[in-house]
Amino acid sequence: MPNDNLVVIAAMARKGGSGKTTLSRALISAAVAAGRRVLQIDTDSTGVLGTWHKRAEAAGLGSPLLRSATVESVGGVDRKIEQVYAADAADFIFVDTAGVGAEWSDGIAVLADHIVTPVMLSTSDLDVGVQTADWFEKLRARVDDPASLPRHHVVLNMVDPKTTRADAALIKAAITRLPVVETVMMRRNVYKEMDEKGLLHAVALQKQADPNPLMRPHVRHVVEALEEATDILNNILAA
Amino acid sequence: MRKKIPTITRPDPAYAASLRPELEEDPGREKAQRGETFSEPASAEPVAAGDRVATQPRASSSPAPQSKQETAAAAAPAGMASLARTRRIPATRKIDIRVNALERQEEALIDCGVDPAHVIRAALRRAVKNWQLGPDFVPPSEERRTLITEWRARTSLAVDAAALTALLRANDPLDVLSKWTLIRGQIEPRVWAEVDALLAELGTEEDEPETPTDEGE
Repeated sequence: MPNDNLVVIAAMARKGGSGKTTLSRALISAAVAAGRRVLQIDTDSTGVLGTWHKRAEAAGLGSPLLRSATVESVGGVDRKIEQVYAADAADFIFVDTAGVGAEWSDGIAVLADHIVTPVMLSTSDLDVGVQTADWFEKLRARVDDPASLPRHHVVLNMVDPKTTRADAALIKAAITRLPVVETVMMRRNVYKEMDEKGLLHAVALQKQADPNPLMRPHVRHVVEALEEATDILNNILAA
Repeated sequence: MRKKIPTITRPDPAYAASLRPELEEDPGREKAQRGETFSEPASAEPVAAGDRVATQPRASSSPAPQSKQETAAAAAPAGMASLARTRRIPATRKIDIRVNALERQEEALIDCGVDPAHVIRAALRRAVKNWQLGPDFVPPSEERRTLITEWRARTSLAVDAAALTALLRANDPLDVLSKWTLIRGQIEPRVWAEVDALLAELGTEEDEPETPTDEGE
C-alpha cells in the first residue's frame, strides 16, 4: 500500500556551511526518536550525511528505523521517493543537498513537501537566506502548478543562548524578510557530538547508561537539543 | 496519493549562476540560440559525434535578447580551432517528462503479470535509448491516455538543445509552453509502441513454458 502520509523534507540553501546537514541530522534524530521510519537521502557530493549514518551504525548509535541512500541525480531522488512511497517504506524522507544555487535546485524543490533553509545570524547569511527565499518565490512563476510547490521554512541556526542586541536586530530582520519557524536552533556543543557519534536519542541513551555517574547529567543537554529539533520538526509539519 | 509534482517551465539562470570553467558547455537555451556555439568542429575529437543531431540553428541570424551566458559565448570568436576542441560535447537541455500508457493498453497491462508502472518505465527507457529530438513539431496524439496515474513514468530527459531551440523558435517564441508540450508528440507514440512490444514479449514469455511439445498451433 502506498504511504499517503509520506513527508519529504529537503534541506536547501544557496550557501555552504549554513548548517543544512546539522539541521538534517537533528530533524532525523527527532523523527526517529518519535518512532517514525526515516530515509535520509544524501545528494551532496561530499557524502557527509551518508558517512555520518555509517559512523552512527558502526558505533551502535543509529537506529533500525533509519536508512540511508546516496543519490547522484534529481531523477534518482525522484525514483527513490516514488519507491518509498509505493512500498510504504518510510514515514519521512530527508534530502540533504549541497550548499549552492544550481539548476538541480528546482528539480529537488518540486519533489519535496517542505523545504527547510537554515540561516545563521549574520548580515551576510541573512542576505543569502533571502536569495534562497527569493529563488523559491520566483519558482512559483516558473512551474505549471504553483499550488503543488512545497512550503518553505527558514530555521535560524547557531543562535547564541545569550542573545545580544545585534542578534535581536538580526532576528527581527529575519522574521520580516523570511518565513522563519518559531523555534530557533541554538548553538550547542552536542551537535558536534551528534556529528561524531550518531542520533541524538541514541547518544542520550548511551550517556544515561554510562557507568560513570558524572556523565549522566550530560544527558540533559542532549535531551534539550532533541526537544528543540522536535519542536522545529513540528513547526515545519504544522505550517 | 503522492502530491502532484509541478513541472518547471523555465530555469532561473540567476540563481544557478556559478563560476564556470572557461568555455564549459552550457545546456541552457541561451547558448543554443547562437549558431557558432554549437558548430560541430570537424577537427574535434569524436567523443560524441555519432549520436548528435546535426541540425544547426541558423548562424546567429537574430540572437534573442538573452543573458550573460550568451555574452560568454559571444566573447569566444567562432572558428577558432583551438577553442572548438572544447566544444565537442553536444549541448543538452533537461526536460521533465511524464508518460503513461494508452487507455486501450490498460487491460493488457493489468493482465501481463508485471507491475504496469514497470512496463511503462521500461518502454520509456527503450523509446528514448537511441532517440534524438527532431527540430519539427509533432502535435500530441489525440488518443486517450489511461487515467491510472499511478502508472505514470516521470523522469527528466536530456534532449538536444539545438533541436529544442528550433522547436521553441517555431512553436513557442514567447517561451510560455512547457517543454514537455513541445516534445511529447515525438516521444509518446514511441513509448506506446514499446509498451505494445513489451506486452507482446511478456505474452510470449508467459506462453512458452505452458506450450506442451506435442501440441501444434
